[in-house]
Amino acid sequence: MKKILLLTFLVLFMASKFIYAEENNDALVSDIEDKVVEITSNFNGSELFIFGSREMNDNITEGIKSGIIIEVIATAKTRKIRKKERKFGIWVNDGEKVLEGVPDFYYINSSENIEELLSEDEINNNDIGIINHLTKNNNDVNSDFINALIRIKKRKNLYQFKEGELEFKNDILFSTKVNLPNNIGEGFYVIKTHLTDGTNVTSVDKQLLVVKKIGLGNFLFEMAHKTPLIYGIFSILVALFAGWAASETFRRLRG
Amino acid sequence: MQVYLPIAEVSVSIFLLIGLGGIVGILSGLFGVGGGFLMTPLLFFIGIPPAIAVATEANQIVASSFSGALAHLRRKTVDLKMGWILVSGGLIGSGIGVQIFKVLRDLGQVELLVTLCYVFFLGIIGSLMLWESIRALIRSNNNIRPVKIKRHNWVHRLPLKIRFRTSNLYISCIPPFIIGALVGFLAAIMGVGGGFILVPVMIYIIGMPTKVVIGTSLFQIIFVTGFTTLLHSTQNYSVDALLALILLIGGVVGAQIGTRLGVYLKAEQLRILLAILVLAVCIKLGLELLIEPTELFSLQEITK
Repeated sequence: MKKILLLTFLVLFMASKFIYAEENNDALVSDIEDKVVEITSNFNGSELFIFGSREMNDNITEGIKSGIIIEVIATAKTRKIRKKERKFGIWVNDGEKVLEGVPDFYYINSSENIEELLSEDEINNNDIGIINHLTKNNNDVNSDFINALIRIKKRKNLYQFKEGELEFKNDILFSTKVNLPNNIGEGFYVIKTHLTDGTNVTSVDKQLLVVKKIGLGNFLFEMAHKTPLIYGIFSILVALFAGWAASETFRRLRG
Repeated sequence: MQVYLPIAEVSVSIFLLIGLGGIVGILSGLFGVGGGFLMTPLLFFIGIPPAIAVATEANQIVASSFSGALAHLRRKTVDLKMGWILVSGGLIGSGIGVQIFKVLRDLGQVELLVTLCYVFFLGIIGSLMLWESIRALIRSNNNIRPVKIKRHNWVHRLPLKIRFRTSNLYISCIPPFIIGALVGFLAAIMGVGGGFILVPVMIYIIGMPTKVVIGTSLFQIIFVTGFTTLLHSTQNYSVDALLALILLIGGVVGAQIGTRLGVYLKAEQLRILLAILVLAVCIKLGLELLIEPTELFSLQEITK
């Protein structure tokens, strides 16, 4: 069922591409299945389906690899990272760095290893890869801290590296599924698809995914941060009511 | 089934949370302990950030202490005058505690403070409990009478004496105020009601009659943990009302089961198991400080 759905998507997508072919001169087109991911109280992760097509360029000489790089980058935020040291025989936090421009979530996938698709200069110029991204924003920070951030995020499945794993349906169509874990944060997620000719990025297409909290969880989060006093009173009242209800219920049960 | 906790910002199994609430509830019903000093470290172990665990547990204790205090108020086993003095101390202690908590949180040292406090207090309580229950076992076998408590000590020489009719006492209001403040401070930084300190001090140092001790301490705990909840939510944004509610459900049911189980089981002997459990949690927290962690770095969201 899911496969049929995906195929339909691809076909419709291709059809729209040919219909608008004259207006759209891009050699690369991409899209995503759902534009919004809602974090509800029973949210247990989600899947993001990215698909697209590239135009085979006749001018590309034989033997040169034309490839695709897909990145998913969440809203950049400021984060603090701390390092533990042994002091007085126990392990305590000692030393911290503030990192700017840290996305909560990052994903990269490509048809080949990045180094085979782009020259080193081009990788840096286009800010491809999370290390480039973080180093550029924090060039005064020791790389130990940046590497630790990536390691921690990777362990939580919030940074995913799938370089060389992107597959084509034929030479033109490509698609991939991104596993969004249940600990992702709110924000705007940019899906950047790069078309490369073996040395340079020839075309970039961007899509936007909105991740937002909804329902009871969102209500509580908003109240806790925007009107903390009311939230505090509300929390106490809920607890008092629950305590009273428990006391009454068990008093009746005892008779 | 996973539930996404909005303030802790983690997904946890709802059954795990209800189960934890239930088990700690059974223990608190069985032994008459509040359970905060077990629940908070258990929350650390399942991955709730310590700052959130402490503040949320204070919120949960509001419910359990209110539920318990209602029964005592009905039976008139609460010394209200003593209660209010304990509360006034408690509010000040809690206020100081939350401020220290906030400063240390910004410095990244709050986890250390909370862990050290837990290792210290769980170590003392666990050892005393183990010692007491072993002695009780020996005593019950040999049929030796417990030593009578002296009702007149240094506390009775302090100034600012007040008459407490319910407790049938005429003593200074300084000791209850100070012990109230200490318990308020612990509520703020450990997420405990503090009954484990309040009750022995009220019996052995202040000299209150045992029948009003539990009710009066529960009365104080409602106000102090309520105030702590309010301060943590306005200063640290760290109270997770949904987590508190889920823990509550398991907690209240567990407490009722525990109270009934207590009728059939020999609590004195089970107390040894509780003592061992408390010491095990203490040792686990202590080892986390002593053993080199596999990951030296930790990531923190900047909350401004």
